[in-house]
Amino acid sequence: MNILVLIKQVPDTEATIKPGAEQKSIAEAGVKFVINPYDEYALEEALRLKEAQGGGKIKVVTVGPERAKQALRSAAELGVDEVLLLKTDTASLDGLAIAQVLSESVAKESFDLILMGKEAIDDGNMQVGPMLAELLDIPCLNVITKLTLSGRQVTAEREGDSGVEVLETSLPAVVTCQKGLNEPRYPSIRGKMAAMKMVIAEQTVTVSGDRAVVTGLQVPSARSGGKIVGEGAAAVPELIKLLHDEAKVI
Amino acid sequence: MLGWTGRIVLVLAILIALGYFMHEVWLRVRIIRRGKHDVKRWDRPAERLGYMIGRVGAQICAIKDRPFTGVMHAFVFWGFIFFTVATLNHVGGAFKSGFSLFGKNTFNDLWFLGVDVVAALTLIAVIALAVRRYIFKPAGITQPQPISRSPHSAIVLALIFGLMLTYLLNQGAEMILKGASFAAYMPVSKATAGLVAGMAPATLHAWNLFFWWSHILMVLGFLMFIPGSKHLHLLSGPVNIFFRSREPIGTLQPIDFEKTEQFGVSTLPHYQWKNISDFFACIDCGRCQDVCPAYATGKPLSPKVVMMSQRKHALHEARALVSGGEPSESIMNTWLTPDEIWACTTCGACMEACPVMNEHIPTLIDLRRNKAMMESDFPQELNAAFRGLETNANPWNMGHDSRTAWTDGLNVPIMSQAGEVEYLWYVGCAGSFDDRAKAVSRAVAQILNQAGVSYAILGLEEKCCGDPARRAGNEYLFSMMAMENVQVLQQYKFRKILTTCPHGYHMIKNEYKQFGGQFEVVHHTELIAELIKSGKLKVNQNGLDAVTFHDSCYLGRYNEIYQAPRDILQQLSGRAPVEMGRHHNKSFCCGAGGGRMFMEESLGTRINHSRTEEAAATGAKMVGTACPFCLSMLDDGIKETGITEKLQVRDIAQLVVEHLQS
Repeated sequence: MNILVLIKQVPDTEATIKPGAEQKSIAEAGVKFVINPYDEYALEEALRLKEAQGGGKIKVVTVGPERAKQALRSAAELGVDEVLLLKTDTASLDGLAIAQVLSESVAKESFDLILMGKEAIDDGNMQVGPMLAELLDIPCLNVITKLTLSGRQVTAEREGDSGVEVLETSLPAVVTCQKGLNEPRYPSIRGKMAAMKMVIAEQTVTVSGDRAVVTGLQVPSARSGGKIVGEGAAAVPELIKLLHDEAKVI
Repeated sequence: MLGWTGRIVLVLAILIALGYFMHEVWLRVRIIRRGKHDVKRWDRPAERLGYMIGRVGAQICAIKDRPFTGVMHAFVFWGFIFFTVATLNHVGGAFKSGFSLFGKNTFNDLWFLGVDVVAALTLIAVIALAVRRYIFKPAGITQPQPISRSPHSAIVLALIFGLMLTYLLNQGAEMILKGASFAAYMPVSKATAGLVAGMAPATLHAWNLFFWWSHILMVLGFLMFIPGSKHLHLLSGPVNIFFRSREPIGTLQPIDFEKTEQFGVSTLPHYQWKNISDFFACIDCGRCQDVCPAYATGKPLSPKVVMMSQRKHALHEARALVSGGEPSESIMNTWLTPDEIWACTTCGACMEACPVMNEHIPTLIDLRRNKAMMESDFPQELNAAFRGLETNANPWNMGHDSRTAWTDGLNVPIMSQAGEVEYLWYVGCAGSFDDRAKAVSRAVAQILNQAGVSYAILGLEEKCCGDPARRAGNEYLFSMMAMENVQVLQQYKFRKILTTCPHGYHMIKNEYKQFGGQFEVVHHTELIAELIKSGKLKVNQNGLDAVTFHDSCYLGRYNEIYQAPRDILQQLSGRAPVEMGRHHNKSFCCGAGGGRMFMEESLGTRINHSRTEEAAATGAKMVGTACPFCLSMLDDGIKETGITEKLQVRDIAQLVVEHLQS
């Protein structure tokens, strides 16, 4: 089975994010970049499927700048078969543009299963998965917490507020992964050492970056502490006054 | 003197016994030789020999932790030494009547006075040891079952008892048969002579021959029994002490990643030879088990089982090992379980207690290394810690750029802008990210500023010292971090490194050497004690009520810093701290070492609760610590056991700040 895993390199969840040049992108100095955490579930699921089936191929592709090679290297440490950087310096917010670039690249090969995170934690668009499936004209199962393969038959679960949906389709398909699907592994040192020597393949691509643009970034203002107005019924008039005059919510 | 038939039987018996003994010992030597070469074991041979003779000769090894059984053991040991000559004379007597190795002189007489007395003392000791083992049944030597259920002890006690008894009866009979010329310096044999005095000469002669033969046959039987039993320690024990590690307890050795494909230990030949030698030196005495925090709190780890189980494994695989082949199975799962190797807090109490100076911690970490690096199989929680170390250079995975957030509002100089300083203060991850330890960092900064100490911190150039990675078996990650840290440290000018965390202290002082970093390191309690002594820091004396002190393993057992924190407490409270039941080198771990800080403690009871209760039992209202992990564990222990009214915990630096003279 041929599995394609799509990943994105994003700032570390713990990084302090500050607006950079012209307040339109983030300042990258001192920021650590990691594989998007939801994409790690996709990587882990691909590795588990390959192990369970005792064969197959895993290819990992990302769209991004030169630094995204580090994310591919981290993926390579886990023991995937092939990695590819679709290189662009355009930071596009446009999900469709990314999906188009990916679909052109992916269409050249045939994959049974395309796995990716449900969303990237930096822009949180949640668009690329379904759009890519649409462009490839294959089904898409979104936000999946359990995945079972039986031959070409796919059964997946999606957890909602009120219960679990069970979805079925057949391969090829796009599956976007949600926390809870699995617990991503830590690479073996042999894997790490092999990945250090790996040559990362790259192709330059053009991403149209003008259909949706960032006009400005702002840091949310620091939270001020809560205020205790008083106690019991006596405090109610003061509370209402403040909610009306100061917070302007009533 | 024996007749020709007797002599031939004797010589054959000796050849068989000696041959079997040598064969069995050589088998074990060949198994040990399957381990890897280790150059560190042969340096300073004269010093090693002297240390071995002193420690074994004075029986410090046995007496140190168990005075009563130790003294009993010393009787048996000295009995063994004195009897070497007696046994040679005994055998020589078969060929030449009245044979004496030393000849007839005062030295010989004195020696045999010694033999006579130790024979009696050994008899007493054997009875005492048997009573202890079979009536009082101390857990250390009788648990856990079934591995400690060995008939070996009964056989050995019976043999030694028989040896002494037949010797004394034989001597007594000889005394009567040959006239009592040597009675003066053999008081005990003289007494046994009284027992057989009434016999007819022919009967006495027959009995004498019987005592003579039973004695020598028991000697030879014992010889054949030794190699296959834990009593091999009378050879392997002293050898093991000779080849002891000369580094601080628990110090780990690096892996050369260029030269090997196997990281850590999966099968026996992956060990260094000394690790395997340890397995054969173990006596099942359980001193290690008695002090192990994991064992004490119901976890499946016992340090002695780690040794004994692998000895069984080695013997099980003996055929393959001595013929140069590979063992048929790996050590883990059949012989040891993951829960055992991950339960270790690397506190070092086992190594401190071991009479033959076995090195349990490096062995356990070798097994962890294989698990962590070759198999990526370790407690789930470590995944986050390893990733945190990789991405944010701290095991909590907090944003690296907030490493210096604790300095807000304080005047803390940064190394890159400070030029040359006296102390480069290595704050450590806990001191930078953990709220409780951040308060300690602020206290230390205040002390340094007030005393006018020249210092600076690395700021964002500081990264984790790597201790959690190394102790959790991720040597690869650790070695990258250590190399990088040594490089950063070497580019600055300073006299000493100051650490607020004993783990950083140990790593930088003792383990960074392996990566080319030679640094003089001081712990903050040492510096503070010195500042108070020299008058640079003035504290209110008697400002503090009764206080107890919890020794951190890495400060105490690992680096033998016991007095500095106590001196400070003495200054603050006007009296020495109230000691807990276990203190100094016998201190009981808080439960957070060995990477355990970052793992769940789901088996047995909690180590920190046990220690907290011990601190509360002193009656002191305050327990002082000098380690951020201990602080955290004890604070949690106090809250979780609901004794916040009774007991509080502070780092020594916080107590000092609370009692500073302004």
